[in-house]
Formats: sequence, structure tokens, C-alpha cells
Amino acid sequence: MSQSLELLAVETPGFSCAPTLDSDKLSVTFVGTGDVAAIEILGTYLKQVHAEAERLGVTEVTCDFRKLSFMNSSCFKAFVVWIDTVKNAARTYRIRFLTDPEMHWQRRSLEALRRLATSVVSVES
Amino acid sequence: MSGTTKPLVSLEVSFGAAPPQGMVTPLCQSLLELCRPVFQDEDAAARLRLTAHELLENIVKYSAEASCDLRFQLTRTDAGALEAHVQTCNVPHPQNRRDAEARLQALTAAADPLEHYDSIIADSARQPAGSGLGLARIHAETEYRLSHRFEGDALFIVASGEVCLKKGALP
Repeated sequence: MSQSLELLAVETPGFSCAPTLDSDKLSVTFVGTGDVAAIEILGTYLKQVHAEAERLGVTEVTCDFRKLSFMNSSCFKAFVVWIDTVKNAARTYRIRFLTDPEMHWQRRSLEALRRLATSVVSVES
Repeated sequence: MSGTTKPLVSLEVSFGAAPPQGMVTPLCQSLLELCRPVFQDEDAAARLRLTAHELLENIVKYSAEASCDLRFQLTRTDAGALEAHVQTCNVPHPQNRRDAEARLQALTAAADPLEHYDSIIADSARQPAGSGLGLARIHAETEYRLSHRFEGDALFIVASGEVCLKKGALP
């Protein structure tokens, strides 16, 4: 029996996260600027993404960054914490980042996240 | 920051106290827009933006109640190369001073910036705050050189990196 998505979208001025579920793949689209105003929301949201990924038993979570214009180090750290959690979880899933090659910071920052857990993270453009 | 060399471009924003958090993104976005038309490639503008953003956020997070400023300069070296410089000046909280100094010294002494960055990233996963990730990110991701000095209680951090301008963009 297929399960439905219980994770909701969140939106603040300048930043939003919107999830979708397709078969056994969960996707989250990030839009805007991940700055100081987004830190708390993002940290909480990534915990919810992890809980939802575990509940649904997905094999992959895609993070679509193509409309994310910037991310500061505190938001970057929220992803570090999430990836570290997934890496050490009993049942892991893959995290796939979709990037815009025109946003040069994405390649450098996400490559650093990939090095943190090469068996979990992949980066695509 | 530029010694005795006259800067080609100089922009300084001063605050009577630590700036409100909400000013960081618009200010750094403005700097990006300022440089975009003259920088040869978009990547150079993106690296400058990241540098300014991380340094300015550190001021917001770690300043004691005192004036602080952000300065951007574009200079030409004696060898003819163009360099972008971002400097921040603030008075850190006394409890942050030693931390800041230790992190900056470790960064500039690291033989391999990328390896140092990876270890800071791994450590930060279990550290609540103040892991030095922003400074490490500048050092590893933008390839800007970081230097710092204290003058009394004031901490000056300068990040400098070579840039190429569009032909004829500046006299």
C-alpha cells in the first residue's frame, strides 16, 4: 500500500522548502536565500525530512537547489548535521543534490558536503 | 588593507553597533550587483559575495556593543594584478576573542586548506555553534587569503583574492 506524504512545505520571506513524493523518492525544492533568517526553520525542517524519509522508507531524498541563490555557513551546517545523521543511521538513504551550474557557490559547497559522506551524497547539475 | 596604493574602488559601511541580521543579505547582494558588471566572470562575483557574507555575519554574531565596519576595495598590485579585498573590523566579545584568534591562526597555518576545511566540517556536525565554519569556507571555497590583526580590542580580518575585470570596465 502506498503511503502519503505527511511533510508540509514551509515558507518565510525570502526562503521556502517544498516537498514532493514520487514512488519511493522524496524530493525537496529549496528556493530563495538561506541566510540567518532561515537557519532555525531549515534545521528543524531537515530533522522532519529525515523522520519522514525513515517513516516512508525511501531510498533517496533529492534536494533541488536550482532556485537557491545563496546559503550561508549556518544553513550549510544544518545540511552537515543532517548528512551526519543519515550516514550514521541504521537504515540509510541516498541524498542527491540538484544544482544550477550557473550558481558557482553550489558546486564548491556541495562538493564539500559530498566529501563528508561519499557513500550517501551525490551532486548533479 | 591596500597599504599606500590608491584603491580603484573603495566602499565602506560603518555601524554604530553590530548591524541587525536583516542587513547582511541586502548588503552583500548590493556588493554582488556592484561588481557583477565589471568582473570578468560570475564566479568571481559569487566568491566575493560569499566572503563578504560570512565575514559580516561573524560581526553580527560575535560583536560586543561597539562600532564596526565592512570595507571593500579593489586595488592593483605592483605586478599589475587586480585584487579584491574585504575587511571587517569589530570588537569581539572577550569570550570570543581567543577562539577567533585560534581559528584564524589554524586556518592560515593549514598546509592544505581543503583538508582543513573537511575536518572542520566533520567536527561541526556535533558542535552546537561557533565552529569556525564560515571562515574555513572562505579560505577553502573562495581561495581568498585571510589575514588578521588586533589593534587594542578591535579585530581586523582581511580577505584578499585576485580578480579579472572585463576589458575597459575600469580606467
